Amino acid sequence: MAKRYGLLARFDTADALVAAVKAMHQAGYRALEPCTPYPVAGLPEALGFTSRWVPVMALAAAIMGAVGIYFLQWYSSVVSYPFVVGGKPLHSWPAFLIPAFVIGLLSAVVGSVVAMLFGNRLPRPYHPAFHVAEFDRVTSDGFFLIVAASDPCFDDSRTAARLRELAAANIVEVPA
Amino acid sequence: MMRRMIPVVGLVALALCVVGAMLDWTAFLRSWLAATLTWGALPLGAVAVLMTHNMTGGAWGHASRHVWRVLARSMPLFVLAMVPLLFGLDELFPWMHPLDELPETVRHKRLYLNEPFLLARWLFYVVIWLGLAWLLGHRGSQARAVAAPGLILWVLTLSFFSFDWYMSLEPAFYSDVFGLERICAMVASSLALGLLVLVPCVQAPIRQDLANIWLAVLLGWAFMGFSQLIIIWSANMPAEIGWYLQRTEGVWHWIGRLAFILFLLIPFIILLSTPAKQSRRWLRRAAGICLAGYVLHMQWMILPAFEEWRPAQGWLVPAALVAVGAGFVWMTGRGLECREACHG
Repeated sequence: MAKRYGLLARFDTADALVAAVKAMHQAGYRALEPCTPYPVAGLPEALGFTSRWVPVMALAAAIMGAVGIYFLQWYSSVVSYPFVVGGKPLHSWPAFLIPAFVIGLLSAVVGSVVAMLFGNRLPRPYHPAFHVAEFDRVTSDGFFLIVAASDPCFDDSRTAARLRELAAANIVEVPA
Repeated sequence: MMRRMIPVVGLVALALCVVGAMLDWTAFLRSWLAATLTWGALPLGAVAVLMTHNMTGGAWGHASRHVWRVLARSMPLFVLAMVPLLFGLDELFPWMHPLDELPETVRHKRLYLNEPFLLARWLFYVVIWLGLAWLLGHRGSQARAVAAPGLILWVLTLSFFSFDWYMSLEPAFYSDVFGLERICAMVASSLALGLLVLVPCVQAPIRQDLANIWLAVLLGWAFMGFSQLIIIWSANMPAEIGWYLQRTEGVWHWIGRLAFILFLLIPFIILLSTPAKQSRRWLRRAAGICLAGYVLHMQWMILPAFEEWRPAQGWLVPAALVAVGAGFVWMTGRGLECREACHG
């Protein structure tokens, strides 16, 4: 028997996909990969997905960026090159706050984008599902669910039968 | 039990204020001004929230409408509370001194800052605000049409009201953004009070929407306040920086910092977290802390404007706050009470 990655099931509607994901998740499947043309409401909840570390990463990046740039300004104008401008104190916190705020914001955005990419295991130029011609429909009207064979619950005949019960329009085997 | 105590406490505080007014008229006026402006933010902010919802729609407004309407209906009390101040304008506003005693910058402002014009403007603002509050608070059906022109009028009148009643206490000081900063502070405090009342009886998504709006207004306030600070601090002109110097003298320095931490910093940190925006307990904490900070912030805004601290102000400021506040709570409390049945 040829090596394979798993099963690819296509659903006609987003609702059917969400219902199927919910049922598969409840049945104990964990290696589930839904693929949809647009973000589907309720899908993360159906997968039992809770994201905690993207906001945490964004906050950490924001604090690091803001503190870093504030330190840079303080160091350069108080320690490294003290120079009085316009009679202002060397440590002019109102002026320092603006770059700290801007860089903090930028770091938060960059941090959350990087965390999102890592969390999604992106960039990923190759995926076994690309071998299936039908998978092209994921960018137009196909709602797909990939069940990986590595899942401990995975069983050749039973998994396919279960997906069919859950109103899958078509089920294809994904080669490795 | 608590509810029945409110009129009693309010009347006792009011009696104290009357005694204070007879003992030291100037100290009474200052304290009363600070208290009135502090509490006046509630109806003024609520009117803006209602008009904004009439413009944008959204589930958050349908769920919270009754609270803003009740707050808006307390507008007449704000107007009434301002009346005693009209009899003491010469004590409150330094620009009413004889012309030759005034510094030159202020002398040029007398075309705008003079008693009849101030009173005429006040009457104009009050008529507009009472009209808006009446339309929005009592006439739900006609309120939609009034939202867009009403908001424009609201921003303009409040901006000039802030110039008249806050900024002209130190007539040499001028800042463009002052009115917008006041507007943001008023709406933020009104939203905080609304959240404090609403949090137990609305769903989590509504709580999050309201918290997001509130956070946006708070950040708007921070933006306006900081713009004013950075411009005045950079230019360092004697007439303008004096406003900040008055407010960093002695104990005001620490009150100002504490007010900033309570009004903005702690609520901001709490509201960073999405689960906290939906949590009943955290939202109530944030709103309560913000309101405490707001009251402090208002005293920091108004009271350092007057040159010397009169001993009677020590007890008149809290007494006036309690007296006017009890009036507002008594007037709005009944409207908010009957809706608490929606708990379940």
